[in-house]
Amino acid sequence: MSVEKVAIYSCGGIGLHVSCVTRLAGYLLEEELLESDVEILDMHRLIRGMPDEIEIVERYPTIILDGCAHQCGSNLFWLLKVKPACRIYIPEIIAETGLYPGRERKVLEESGQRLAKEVAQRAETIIKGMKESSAYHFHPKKIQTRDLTLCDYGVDVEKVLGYLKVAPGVYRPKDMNQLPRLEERETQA
Amino acid sequence: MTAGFVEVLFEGSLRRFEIKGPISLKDLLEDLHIKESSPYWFACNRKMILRTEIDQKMIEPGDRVEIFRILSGGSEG
Repeated sequence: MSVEKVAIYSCGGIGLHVSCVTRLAGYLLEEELLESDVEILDMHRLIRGMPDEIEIVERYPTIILDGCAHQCGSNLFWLLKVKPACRIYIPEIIAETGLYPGRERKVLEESGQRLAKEVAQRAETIIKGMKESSAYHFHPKKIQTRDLTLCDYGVDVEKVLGYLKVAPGVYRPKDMNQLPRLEERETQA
Repeated sequence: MTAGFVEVLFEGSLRRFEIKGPISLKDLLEDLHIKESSPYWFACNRKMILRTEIDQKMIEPGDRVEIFRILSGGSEG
């Protein structure tokens, strides 16, 4: 099944500047870069069980923007028993680019804004690849919310989701589709 | 003991530090002049390190440590 839209899950943290970066990256994707190709996910609506939010997760592939090592986005998806198409791990983008989230939360400083743009552009590349490539397929899935409990802190979410590093800061569950623009050589081989 | 480098992501910059072998995170933080009680959280190789684990957590050559400043809201790890 070809990709109609892509869902973006931005880190929902409040205690680190980096969560403001992931949120801005999501807004840039939805409001500037790929307006009609992106849906931003809202964790609270998901946990609440809002049918339209659940439909987004089930119908479209998701890119998670994990802001820190808590990996709340990845943990949420593990909790819902669905796999994201991939995730972008922001600390690695910071390490690679030297762009710092900054020290202001209300309005991000220039470095934080540039970091958000960098993250959004990387996600844009992945989304365009998913949409353009005939080799990329997405199969709708069902989230499982019955008997929902909190995440087990002891669970290694990278292990249970089977993350494989496919580019700097970008991870994909190994049993999910290859990302066309990032893993082009492997896809063509 | 095998000497090598650890990478430390701190305040937006990635720095490399040579260590002579495994060292505790507590000792690494001391070398970096970061107090354990400072408002930061710590991770090693994308795994959070709880404050109660700082003494025991061993950092080895090749590891990447992430240090981020905590603001209000959320736990202090």
